Amino acid sequence: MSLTRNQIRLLIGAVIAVLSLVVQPRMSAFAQELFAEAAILAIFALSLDILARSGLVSFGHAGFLGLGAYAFGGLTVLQNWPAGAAVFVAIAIGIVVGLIVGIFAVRTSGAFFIMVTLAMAEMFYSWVFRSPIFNGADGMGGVPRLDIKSLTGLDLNNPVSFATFCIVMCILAWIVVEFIAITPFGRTLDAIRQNPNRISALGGRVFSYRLAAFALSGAIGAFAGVMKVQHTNFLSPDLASWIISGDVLIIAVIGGMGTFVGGIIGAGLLVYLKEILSSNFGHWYLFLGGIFIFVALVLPRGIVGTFLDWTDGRRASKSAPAATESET
Amino acid sequence: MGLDPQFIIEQLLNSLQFAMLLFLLAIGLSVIFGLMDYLNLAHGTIYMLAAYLAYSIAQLSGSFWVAFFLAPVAATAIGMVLYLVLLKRAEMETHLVQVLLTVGVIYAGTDILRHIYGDLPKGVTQPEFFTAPVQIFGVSYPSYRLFIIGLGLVIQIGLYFALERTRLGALVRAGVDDRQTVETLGVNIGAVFMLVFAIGTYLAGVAGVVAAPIFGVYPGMDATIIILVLIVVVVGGLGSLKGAILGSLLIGFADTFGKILLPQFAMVMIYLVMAIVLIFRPTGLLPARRFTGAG
Repeated sequence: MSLTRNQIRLLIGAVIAVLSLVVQPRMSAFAQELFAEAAILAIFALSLDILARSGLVSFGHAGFLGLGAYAFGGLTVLQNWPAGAAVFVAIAIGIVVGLIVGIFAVRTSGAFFIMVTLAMAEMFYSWVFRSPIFNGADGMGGVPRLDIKSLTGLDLNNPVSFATFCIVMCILAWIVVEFIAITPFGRTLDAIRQNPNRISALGGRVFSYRLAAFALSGAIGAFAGVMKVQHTNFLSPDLASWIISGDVLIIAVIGGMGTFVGGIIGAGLLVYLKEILSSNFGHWYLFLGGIFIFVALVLPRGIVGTFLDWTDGRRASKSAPAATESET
Repeated sequence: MGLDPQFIIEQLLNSLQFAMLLFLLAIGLSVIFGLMDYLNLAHGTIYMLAAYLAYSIAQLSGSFWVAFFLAPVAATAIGMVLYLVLLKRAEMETHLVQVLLTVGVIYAGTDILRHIYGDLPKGVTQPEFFTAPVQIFGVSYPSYRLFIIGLGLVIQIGLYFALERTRLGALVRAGVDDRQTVETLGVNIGAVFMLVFAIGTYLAGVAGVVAAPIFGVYPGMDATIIILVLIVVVVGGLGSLKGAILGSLLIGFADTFGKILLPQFAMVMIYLVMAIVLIFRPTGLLPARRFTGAG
C-alpha cells in the first residue's frame, strides 16, 4: 500500500459517498431526515474548509447560511419567484456579499478575522431578527422545495428523495472543492495558508486570493442555506446565529480542518451524536461537551487529520530514512 | 423618547457601569491571550459559575458581602483546577483546538450548573447598604450601580500599578511582547502565566458576583456576555490594560446608546463600532507591542 495522503483522503470521501447513497434509501423515515440534515451541514462545513485553505477561519459563517436561506425564502415566498431561479440568485448574493464584506474582513487574519466575521454575521442576525419584512424573530414558514420532478423524476417533497438529493448535492459540492483545491488557484491558497508573508514577498496577491476564497466560500455557504431552508421549509433568524457558526467550526475541527472529507464526517457525527444523546439523556450537552474536550485533547488534528498523520507515519517508517513531505 | 440632560446622564452612568463589567472579564481574556496565545472561551463560564456560587452563598449566609468575598475565590479555585487538569494540555495547540476544548467546557459547565440549579433564573438581592438611590449630577441613580463603577475604577487603578510598578507586572508586559526572550533570561513564564490566569479568573468571578443582582443568574448568561467581551478585546487591542479599558468603554457606550438611539438595531451599533475600528486599526486601538503588526 503506497497511497499518498491525498489519495487516502479521496478514497475515504468516495467510500462515504457510495455508502450514503446505498444505505440511505433503506433507512427509516426518521433516519432520512438525519441524512438530509447531515448532508446539508456537510456542504456548509465544506464552505468553511475551502476558506480555511487560505489560512482564514471564520466564526461568522452562519451569516452566509442565513443569507442564502433568507434570499431563497424571501424570493420564493414573498416574491413568488420560481425556486430554481431563486437558488441561483441566492448563490449570487452569497458571492456579492462575500466580496463586499471580504474587502475589509480579509485585511485581518487569525483571531481578528474570527471576530470580524462574527460581527458581520451578528449584524445580519440582528437585522433579520427585527425585520418586519421577514416577520422578525417569529420567522416565516411555507418555503417551497425545488421542483425537479420533470428533470429527474425525484419528488423532493418525499423525504427519501429529498435526502438523496441532499447527498448528491453534498457529493457535488465535495467534488467542486476538491477540484478547486488542485487548480493553480487552490494551490496558491494552500501556499498562502502555509506562509502568507513568503507568498506576498514572491509577488503573490494574498489579499485578492483570500478575497476570492471568501466569496467562493460565501457562495457555497449560501447554497447550504438554500438547502437548509428547503429542508425545514421555515425561515428563522436562528439560521444566522453564532451558535450555528460555532457548530460548523466544531464540525470542521472534529473532522480535521483542511481535509474536506473531515467536515463531512464531522457533520454526520455531530448530527448523530446530538440525536442519540438528546433522546437518551436529559443533560446531553454535558456529554457533547465531554466529546469536544476528548477530541481536542486526544485528536487535536481531527479524526481524518489524525488518521492521515498516522498513515504518514507508517509510510515514513516503511520507506527509506529519506524525509517524506506531506502533501497538505 | 426624551433626550433630556437627566436621561443622558443616567444613560452615561449605565454605560460606565456596563463598561466596568465588560472590563473585569476582558482584562483576563486579553492578558491570557496576550501572554500565552490562549483563546479561553471558558472565561465566561467562570463568570457564570461565580454568579451561581454567589447565589448559593448569599442564600446560606443571608449576606451579599459574604458571597462577594467568597464566590470569586471559590470560582478561581475551580478555574485553576480546570486549567491544570484540562486547559493546560492545549497550550501548545492552535486556537481552533483551544476553541473546541473551551466550548466543550462551556457546554459541560452549563449543563452541570443547570442540573444543580435548574433552568429558571435565580435572583440575588442587592446588598442592603446600596438599596437606596443617590443623587448625582442632579439625577437619582441606583447606588449599587455606582458601587460597580467605583469598584471597576479601583481595580483598574490597582492593575495599572501592578502592571507598571511591580516586578511581576514588568515580567507580564515583557512576556506579552516577547515570551521567548523572557524565558531565555531564566524567568519561569509558566509560573507567571499561572498567576495571571488566577488573577484573570478571579476578576471574571468578581464580575459574575456583581452582575448577579442586576442581570439575574441563569444558564447561558456566559454566552450572552462572552461575545461582547471578545469584541471588547478585539476593539481595544490584545494584551494591554489600556486597550481593555478603552475597548470596554467604547462597547459599553455603544451597547447602552445603541439600545436608545436605534432600538430596532440595538446590537448593530456594537458591530458597527467594531467594524469601523478594525477597518482603520486592524489590530485594535491600543494593542500590546507584539500585536501591532499584521494579524
